[in-house]
Amino acid sequence: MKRILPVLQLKTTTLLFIICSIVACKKYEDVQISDYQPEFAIPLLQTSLSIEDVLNRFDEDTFVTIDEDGFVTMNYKGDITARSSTDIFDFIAQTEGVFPLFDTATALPFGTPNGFDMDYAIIDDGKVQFLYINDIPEPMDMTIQIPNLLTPDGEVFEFKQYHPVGSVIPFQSDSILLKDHILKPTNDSIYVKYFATLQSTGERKELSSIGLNLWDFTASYVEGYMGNDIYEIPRDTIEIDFFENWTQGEVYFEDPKISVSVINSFGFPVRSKANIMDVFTADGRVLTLQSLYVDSINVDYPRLDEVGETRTTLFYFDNENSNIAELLGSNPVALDYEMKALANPDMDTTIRGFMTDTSQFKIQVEVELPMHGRALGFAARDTLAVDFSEFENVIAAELKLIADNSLPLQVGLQGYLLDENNKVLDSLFLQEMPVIAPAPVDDDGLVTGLESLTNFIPLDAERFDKLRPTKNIAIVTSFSTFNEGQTPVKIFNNQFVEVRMGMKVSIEQ
Amino acid sequence: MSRINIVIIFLVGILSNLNAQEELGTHFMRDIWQAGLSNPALTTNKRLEIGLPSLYFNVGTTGVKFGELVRTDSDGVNRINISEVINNLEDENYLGADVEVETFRLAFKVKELQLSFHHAIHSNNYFSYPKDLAELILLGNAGAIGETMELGPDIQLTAYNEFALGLAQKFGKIGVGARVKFLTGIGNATTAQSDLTLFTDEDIYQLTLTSDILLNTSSFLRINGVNDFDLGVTDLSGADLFTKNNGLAFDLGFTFELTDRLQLAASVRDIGKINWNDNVVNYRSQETINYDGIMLDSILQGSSVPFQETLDSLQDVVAFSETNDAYTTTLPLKTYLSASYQFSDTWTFGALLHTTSFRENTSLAMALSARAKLGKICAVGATLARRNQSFDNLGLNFTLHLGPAAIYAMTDNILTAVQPGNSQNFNVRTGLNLAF
Repeated sequence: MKRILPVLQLKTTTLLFIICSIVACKKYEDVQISDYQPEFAIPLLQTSLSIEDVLNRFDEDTFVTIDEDGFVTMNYKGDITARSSTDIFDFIAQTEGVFPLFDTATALPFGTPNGFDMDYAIIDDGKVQFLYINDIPEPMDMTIQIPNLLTPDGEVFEFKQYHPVGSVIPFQSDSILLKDHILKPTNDSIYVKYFATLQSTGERKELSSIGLNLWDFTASYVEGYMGNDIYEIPRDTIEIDFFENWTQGEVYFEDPKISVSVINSFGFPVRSKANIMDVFTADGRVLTLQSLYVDSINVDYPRLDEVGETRTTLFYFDNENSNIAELLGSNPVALDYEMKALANPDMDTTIRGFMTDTSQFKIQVEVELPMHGRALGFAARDTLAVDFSEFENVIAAELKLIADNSLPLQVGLQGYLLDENNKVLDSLFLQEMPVIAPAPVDDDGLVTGLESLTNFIPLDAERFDKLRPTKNIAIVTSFSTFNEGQTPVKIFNNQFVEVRMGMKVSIEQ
Repeated sequence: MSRINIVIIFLVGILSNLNAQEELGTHFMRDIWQAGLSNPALTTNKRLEIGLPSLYFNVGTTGVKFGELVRTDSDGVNRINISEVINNLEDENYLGADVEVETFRLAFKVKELQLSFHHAIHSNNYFSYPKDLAELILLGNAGAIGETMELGPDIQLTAYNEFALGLAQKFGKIGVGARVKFLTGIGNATTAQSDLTLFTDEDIYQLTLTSDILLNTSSFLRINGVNDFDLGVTDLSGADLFTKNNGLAFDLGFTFELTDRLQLAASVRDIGKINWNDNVVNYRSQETINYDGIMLDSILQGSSVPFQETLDSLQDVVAFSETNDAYTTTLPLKTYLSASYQFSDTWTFGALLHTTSFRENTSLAMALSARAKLGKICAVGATLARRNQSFDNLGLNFTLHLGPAAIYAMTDNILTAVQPGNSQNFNVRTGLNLAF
């Protein structure tokens, strides 16, 4: 018995050990994890924006200029519209055709635009050909002169041809190039003379039929009194997208300008006239620029001894000479303009001018918005596409937004969560919140320090449920200058706003 | 006060930080040669001993007990409670698992001199992790804003062969023993440097991740990225017996019979190292990454906010460079100091103080033993050990002598089998010897 008991005890002990192990291990099957809701803190974004960075992102026709003091001006430049001499030279081309000569001396009409008094023209291209019937049976010398047409050497144009015997078959000369010949009409006419002379006796004969053919006439230079016509400059529109997303509020610029730049290579006096100078506003109104100078911008021009040069005339519409402040304070989105050019506005025929085949009258209009002014509740709306579908496991979040600002602008923010049909699901905040505080300014509108603002934006589980199906967020940003828009401020390129945002996010398994 | 009481008091003295994972109970099983594993001077009275394949397995952890990890709620659902896990973690927490397979042992005795030879395959696996790492994974970093989280885990995975030659000699009351062990490394992965920190700034939670990690590997572990690695442990083959990763280790032991009933023993084990030369890859990461968020421009241009790209980029922040430089690892140095008192022909009582020094940490364990001979064929014992600052490790051991065969089994924590939920460690050794 003494020997058996220990063995029995051993076996029993072993069996119990095995059973307990199996039962114990069974407990740890099918385990689930509870209360797994870690919270992670991560940085989201960090950036520093100067006004130059913000304004320069609009488009290629919009740019920022900075003066030597760093003062920022926003510029909107329109396309260059131009009128060239090609259209004006049409009257030269109208000189071409087939002209019969009814006498040994014939005056061919040379038409010019109304009031145009041409001294001379240098022919760039053109050809002449003579046709006649020589029925004289004996040898004859033919000479045709055009006294109003000089060769490049300054000689009177002459055509000579010897005919040994006549024929009923009409004679046709070769085409004669007239490049660089000088045309000097007399009393709006070009005279043509011919001399059909018998070689035997020198007797001058008349031909039964004679004419000339002119074609491909163009001129490279025209000099004279250019008349008093009005020339239309193509219409253009400048888009001002600064206010593109405006929804409410006002912005007042202290010293806005519209500059008109005229580059003129026509050699005669011109007065520019603004046929149309209208501002389209964000709320659909059309306002007209009013100024004494709308119809009378005298344009500089090159003189007779300055052929090939250009003259630039720059004119500003500003607060002193127009209602521009009212126009640009009305949230403009476009400037529509059309200019006209009046030649020789004083009709002084003693002023002899010129134009070449490359002469142009070019106009460029530019809107300048110096960043000196006031804003109150100026709101802009923009929509961002977002995708929070990857955040299925997120149950709550808290955004931390820090803004360090040396710009004298306060920025308020509100966001509207939109579904795929742009239906509003919720708003980010109960009401618009100031997220960037304005830097303080002195009486001259100059910034005196840095302002920092920290905001915590909670997104609890319920709000995050609304955030998850959001496809777009409509961001409404409102700007006001220091002192609730009462104090005009100046913005310089060394001013910036630094925005940093982090997020705490809770997730679940 | 008698010398016995002094020794007992010293051994029973309150010691802090007792969390060694070594087996303790085997030291008291003086009727089988396995007691000599802890002290080469301990021998049996058999002339010839043949050790057949035996197995030792040990797993332990600090910080969280299994039962604290999983609880059953009122609906009968087993749940892991994250809060309790975190609350029970220490600043540094350890997981260890050791497996030892002794394939063969031969020992013979001539008078008082014993010569022995054995081969064993060891797998020692150690993983420590800071509490901050668990907190980051389970709680996130939002609770550590403005603080630096220490995240670097520490690992050492080692598998090696041990070919040992032992010598033990008794000189009257004094016994001495020594073993020289030729080691061949099968595979290793060791962090020589494991500094990884994450700082979350109070501003907008900017993240700074700093790494200074050196992971040496031989045959084990291939890393392609933080989330892409392959441990690469394959079945052993004959080629793994002798590798180019060589090492040497020594065991030294002493015994002293203070009286004819009281024996003192002291030993030092595994004084040695392994040189890893074969198939070595060193993974190095030494960089500081600052993440401050994405640029605002992408939002202003109307694109969607790339949050997922933001999070994904953090996963690739720790990049490793590779070299192939040989390196050395040392074995965990173990010491044993014990007293064994034969109370009667049946009962023997003992006390043991054990230390393990590993990776700049020294841990202590203490055990009290009571063993009873039940006739000639059976001996059973129990141990009460203090580990991890708790005196709740109840061990059992037995030996069954059937002729020349001796069947044995030992565990230092029988309670794990019954209440695995309240345990942090478990080990077992079992095998069969032939002794003549």
